[in-house]
Amino acid sequence: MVARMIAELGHILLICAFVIAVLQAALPLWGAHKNHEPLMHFGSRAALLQCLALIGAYGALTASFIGFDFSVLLTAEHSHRATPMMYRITGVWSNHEGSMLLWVLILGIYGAMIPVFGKHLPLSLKARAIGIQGLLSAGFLSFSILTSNPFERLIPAAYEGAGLNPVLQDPTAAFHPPFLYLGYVGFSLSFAFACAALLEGKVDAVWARWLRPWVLLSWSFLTVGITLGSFWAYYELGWGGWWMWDPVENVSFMPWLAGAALVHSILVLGTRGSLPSWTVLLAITTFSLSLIGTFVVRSGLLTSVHAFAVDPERGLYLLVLLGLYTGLALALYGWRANALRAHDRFEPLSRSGALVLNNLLLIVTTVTIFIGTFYPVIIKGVFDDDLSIGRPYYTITFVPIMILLILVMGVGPLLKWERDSRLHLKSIVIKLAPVLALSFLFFFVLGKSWLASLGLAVGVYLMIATLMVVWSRRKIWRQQSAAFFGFVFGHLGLAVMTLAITLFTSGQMDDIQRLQLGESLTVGPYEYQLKSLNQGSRENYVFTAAEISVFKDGAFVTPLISEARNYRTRDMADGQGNWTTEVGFDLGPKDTIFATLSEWDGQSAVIKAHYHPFVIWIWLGALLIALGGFVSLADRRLRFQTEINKETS
Amino acid sequence: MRGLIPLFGFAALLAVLALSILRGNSDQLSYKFLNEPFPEFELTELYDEARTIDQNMVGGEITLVNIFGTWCTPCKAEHPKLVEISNNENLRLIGLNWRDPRTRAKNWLAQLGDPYDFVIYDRLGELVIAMGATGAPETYVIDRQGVIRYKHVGMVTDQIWTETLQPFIRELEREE
Repeated sequence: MVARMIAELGHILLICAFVIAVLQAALPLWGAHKNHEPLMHFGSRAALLQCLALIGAYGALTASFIGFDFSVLLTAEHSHRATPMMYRITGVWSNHEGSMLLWVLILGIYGAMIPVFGKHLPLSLKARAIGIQGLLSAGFLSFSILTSNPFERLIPAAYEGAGLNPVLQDPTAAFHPPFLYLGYVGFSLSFAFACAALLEGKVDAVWARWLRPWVLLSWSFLTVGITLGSFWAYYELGWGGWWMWDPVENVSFMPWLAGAALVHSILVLGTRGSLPSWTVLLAITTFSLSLIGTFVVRSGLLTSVHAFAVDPERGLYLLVLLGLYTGLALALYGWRANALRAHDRFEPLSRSGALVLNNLLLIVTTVTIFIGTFYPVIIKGVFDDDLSIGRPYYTITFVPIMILLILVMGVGPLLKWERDSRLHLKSIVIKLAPVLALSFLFFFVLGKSWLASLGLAVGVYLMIATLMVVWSRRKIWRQQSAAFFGFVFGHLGLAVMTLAITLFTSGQMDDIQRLQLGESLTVGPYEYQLKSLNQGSRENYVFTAAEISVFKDGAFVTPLISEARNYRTRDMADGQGNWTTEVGFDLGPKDTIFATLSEWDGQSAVIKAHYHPFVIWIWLGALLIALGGFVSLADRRLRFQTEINKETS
Repeated sequence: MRGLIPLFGFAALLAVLALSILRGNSDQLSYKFLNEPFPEFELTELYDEARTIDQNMVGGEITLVNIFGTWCTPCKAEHPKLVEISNNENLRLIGLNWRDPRTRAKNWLAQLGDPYDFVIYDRLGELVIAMGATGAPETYVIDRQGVIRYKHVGMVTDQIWTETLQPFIRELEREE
């Protein structure tokens, strides 16, 4: 009986969190307006308390998943007695209601970070930021409680649960959402501090230095989240692609691009004191794009593999929240942006200048993707006409902008922070242009297409340009800050990704055939031979496995085991269960080879074999970018007690 | 006043999003393959493993392609409607069986009735993915040229049939 009460406790804690959030929104903002200290201090305690209540509520839902409380509707729908422990815990966020609870939990945790790490912040700035964070929490908690209650009961309770969707029973899929939310929701701090700064009428280095680690942290988490999602789609679904320009991928990519711009502009603001109003606008935009992502995935406005249960009421509610938050923030921006003054004159020919140029390019990219994603919606909404935008659009818009961006990324870090000379720029270009030209010619002569050669040349160029910065500081490398190493990792990561994407796109091959036992099929340099077909059972599924021996130049390379799995726990009506396929992969540092099994009988099977050169470096490059972000967090200059003037780099 | 530009831009976007969501019927919005030729494929027939089917066997006349799986409860619910359509209409109806063992799909159709002219057997979901489907059931209208003209996500109910699909097909018939 007591165990069954846990869900009620969770529900009550969720409502408590909402009430606290309302107070957290109202009192500190009022206190800051009236300069009333106790009210301002109240915010810190409320933020901590709200976070604790949410941890309790989330713990309660997790407990009912672990304890198989099938009187909770969500548990009955997404768990099963045969579900392994790990997937009982991750199953909590495998659905709309549970993942929304995780969303508000993370929002609460980030909110609590302001009092925990913000002891030295000016009181009114802190109170206002906490108040806005409370306002965000209140809105999304009300959404959770009113439209998506995770603790809804099932009466009478189910004897057995339906089980977790088998394609989600995979570690990368399981941890893709939390990382994504740690990214998306982390930008709420940027948003709250942007609004607080507008209310204060002041943005300075203290503001930028307190906020920058949180921007870096959120952005790095988002990078990891997107990478895991991409890897999962590639590895588990076996579609043979790592990025589809699917609307849901796009809505996670847009805050990433805007976040990348924010990471850099806040650096300029923190070190040089310039670009205050641009940075504030970016901070609002980045979080608004995260909100748009949440809205799109949960409203059913765009159809995709991610679509949760489609419910127009939820969509409308989220749209109202989006309109309210972003609308108010932008109105505030329109009203107060003039009050934000730059402390430094902006120099176009300088490292800051290059950063601004790349900021603009990142925003242009974001807008391009935004148009690609929403143009069909707009045409449909306004003219009730159908049209679609696919990969060709993104190839002709995204690729040229990225190339331009990378060219600037090569030159920028070699310039001085302060005003630089044309002569210096010229000497940089004289060094880098031959790198670009020679590597292009090299790859072209090797037989790559001109587009592939260009992609590879640009990758090599960025790598060499970044290493040139490292080389130029070789004698003083001990004095280099963590942010410097973050820059090196981040930029090298993008160079690696660019090379990998180009090599993969221009070199991949696949073929499908029905093979008798012992027969083989050739794809690229590899020969895939069907060796055996076996059947068996494991923890909660039965399987048919094809063993495929792979040969290269006549020498044995590796066996691949491709399975078709039948999970007993889902849809047992006729005792046959639900089939999923497990792709036999060999992820290699150079070549990735894999084969999928579709049909079979005792003697033969239909095998689709793939050859993907260098594909793994796409994700490793992305993780290197994330690592760069995490490394930058260690920067001493981000401790804002340090004087601004100690700047050396 | 320049500071207000972002707000006006956002307000316009918001209005459009609100309009789209209030109008509903967002199935077609992001569907990349609308008005594109039916994707190329080569798969076997459900009942006859030796018979291969490709995209050329989908065009030629106005056709409904229905994605189904025995594991999909809504597919079972819409099935009687498909049987009824097949009995009353002079229309080619092709089944696209997804993620089933052959025997199970055959048994399922034997039990519920088989409305299909033939059934494409797509165990791995190759064609389903190539068509840009997001789930089952989904029903596609293909014209005489073999071009995808309409996509319906979810069950074909009486209302969907009489108010949307049937009028759409009548209009296609008049086109030539």
